[in-house]
Amino acid sequence: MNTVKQLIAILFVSVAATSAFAALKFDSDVPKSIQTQMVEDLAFMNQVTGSAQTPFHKEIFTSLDGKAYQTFFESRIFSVGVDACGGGAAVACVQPFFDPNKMWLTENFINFSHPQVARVMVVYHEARHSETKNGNWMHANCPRPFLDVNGKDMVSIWTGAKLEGQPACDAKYQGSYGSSTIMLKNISKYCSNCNDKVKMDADIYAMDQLNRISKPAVKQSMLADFAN
Amino acid sequence: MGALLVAGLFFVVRYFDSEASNEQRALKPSQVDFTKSNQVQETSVSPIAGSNFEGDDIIEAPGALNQREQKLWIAVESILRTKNDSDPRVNDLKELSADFHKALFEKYNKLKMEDRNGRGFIVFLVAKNLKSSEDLDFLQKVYQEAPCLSLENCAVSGNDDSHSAGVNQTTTIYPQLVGLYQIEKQLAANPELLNDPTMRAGILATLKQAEAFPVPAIHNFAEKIRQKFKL
Repeated sequence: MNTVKQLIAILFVSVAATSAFAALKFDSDVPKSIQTQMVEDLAFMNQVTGSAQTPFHKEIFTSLDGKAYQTFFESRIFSVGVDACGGGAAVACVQPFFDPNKMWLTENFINFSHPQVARVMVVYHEARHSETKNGNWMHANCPRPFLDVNGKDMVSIWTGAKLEGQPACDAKYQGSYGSSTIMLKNISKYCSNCNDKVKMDADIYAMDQLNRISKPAVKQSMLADFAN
Repeated sequence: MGALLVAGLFFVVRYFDSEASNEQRALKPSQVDFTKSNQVQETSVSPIAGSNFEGDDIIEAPGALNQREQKLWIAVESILRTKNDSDPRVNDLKELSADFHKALFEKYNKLKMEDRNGRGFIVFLVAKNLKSSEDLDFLQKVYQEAPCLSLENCAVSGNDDSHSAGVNQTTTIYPQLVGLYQIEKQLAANPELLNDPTMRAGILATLKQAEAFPVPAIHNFAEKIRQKFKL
């Protein structure tokens, strides 16, 4: 009888854990700490409400609220695994040739001390790469030369190394860099239930991502969009 | 009835086992090596140290704080531990006493260099409410730190690929970015802050210190603020 009770207890725990992650299926080898962080980060996004949005945001995400963000994510990513994503400092990846609707997280997702907004930005950036019908929004090579509005070389913010020629740019605002920039900038400006740190972080990381837009006209159109 | 229940549970357990083993048989992208006939490579995922999420009731607040600030301190510690930046209590962390700021300075020094978000959170709390020369002394020390070279180990250069370098590099300089972001925000909202000679001198010294920080993004940001407010 004790065995039956234990089995019932195991079954109950399994059902409870499964329902907590009902919308997203984690592989069994994804560490609980990564699952918990991912679920908490997505839960944060799912409760965001906004007072307004820019036209580009409306085009990509439909509205600035948790339901729209949840739909965006869950219609693109169905399962989550753990992988090295090519190694190095990668935090997450989508490998379209392998499974376009699966996101892989690395241990860096929790080992690196990114603000929550940065983690969210990374997973939404990767979710955009799942869109097979849009060629997975593959990144463009940054042009040579890759200059800012002042005619200076666009460089790595840290090392000062030039970004020209690197496959780390988007030519369109709808790409992964562009869409995550638009999402963050809108959260920074219009989120009505985000605290001050979240809004600051959204602004800081949005401005960094904006630097990855390679065409000056597209960048200008995004800045004009943000001014709405 | 009991036999039926046991049989049902048997099949349920078999089902979960089967799902798990199917998943284990599937290869991950990193396990596929076309140059080596798709040999399965060894992978390991170790549990993360220090990822416990205890309740707030075991946090001890500094004794010098009053009752209201003791509760706020518990919020600070809780947010640092859970990494839940969206905690609504963040907006309650305002009009903090000098004792609270002192406790924040001490907490900052106890956090690991690699805890970029934690350290940035403390800088955020101090810099958004600048009110003393001690606050500015603290900020200057933030810009006197050796730059964090990588998120894995601040003392060692990392291996950033260009795809994710932006977000990773932003986080390595996050505490320094936050300080400047908040100084600019405060000066824009409250330019009369510069009418106080002590604050003016302290802010200028902080910006000068930030300009000496050997990372272009911080140097340029500090210079821009100094020029914008004619300092």
